[in-house]
Amino acid sequence: MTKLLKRADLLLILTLLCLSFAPLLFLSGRSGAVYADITVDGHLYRRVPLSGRHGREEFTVRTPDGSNTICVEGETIAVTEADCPDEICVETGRASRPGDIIACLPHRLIIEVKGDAGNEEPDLIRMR
Amino acid sequence: MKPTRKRIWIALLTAQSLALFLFEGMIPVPFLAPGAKLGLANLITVLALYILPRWQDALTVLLLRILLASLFGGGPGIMIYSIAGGLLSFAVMALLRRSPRFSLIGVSCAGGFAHNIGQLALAVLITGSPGLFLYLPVLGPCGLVTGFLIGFAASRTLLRLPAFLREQH
Repeated sequence: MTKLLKRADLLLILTLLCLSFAPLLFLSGRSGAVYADITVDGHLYRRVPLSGRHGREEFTVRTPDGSNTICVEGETIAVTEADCPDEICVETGRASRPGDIIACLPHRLIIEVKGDAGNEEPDLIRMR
Repeated sequence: MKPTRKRIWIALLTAQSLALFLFEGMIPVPFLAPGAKLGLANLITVLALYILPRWQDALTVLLLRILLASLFGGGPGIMIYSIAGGLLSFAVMALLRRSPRFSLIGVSCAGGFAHNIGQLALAVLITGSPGLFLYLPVLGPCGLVTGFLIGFAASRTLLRLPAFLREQH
């Protein structure tokens, strides 16, 4: 085995690498008013507005499969505690930008940060 | 390969795969992205594809390992994700392996990538949030890298196996 990768291998890897970034083209780039949708098993549980939010709020979502404690602090949202086996949702950390997602797959709980339609960057000041 | 010999190989490979799975659970890995892991057990899946005479036998090893692994930890919730990732990855690898244009490492890279696609697709199906695909820019390259490492290890292992296992291909 002198050569590690054949030409076809390299082509294959490059193609797949490009494919990895395809979702960015379709699923991001919206901004405006930012809010977080908390869904359990596909159903909207609560919509939390994030833009211009101050202070700290903590609440616990009880799903049929277990519970997650969600903490909204300023314009960010995070899962601070969960009784799922892997605690991936806790490790994901804070989400704040549209497109950010915190998922707790064992509990089928998803927190999606979304932005309303509006083409401006969120930190751009509109002048007229 | 005689039927008895083949069954012994399936049993051995399954046991090794399960051992690697449990071993991986013991080593701490940095948190890169949700669901990203090394997938040491897949080393055996790749090897099985190249050692065993038929792809069905390698599939047996994979399915037995997923079943046993979910008994040892993980449970049914995690198991369906393992199956989704494992089956898609296996299908891609079994197909690519038939072409002489791809080396074992290339096959393994595509397998690692397909594994993460399968898990993401299932997660999107179950939760109904297509936004989860935004993890792909992280999980896709992760799969390629782990696939490369696994493929590298597998190709080195294959070289050290007795000749009678290699010569059928």
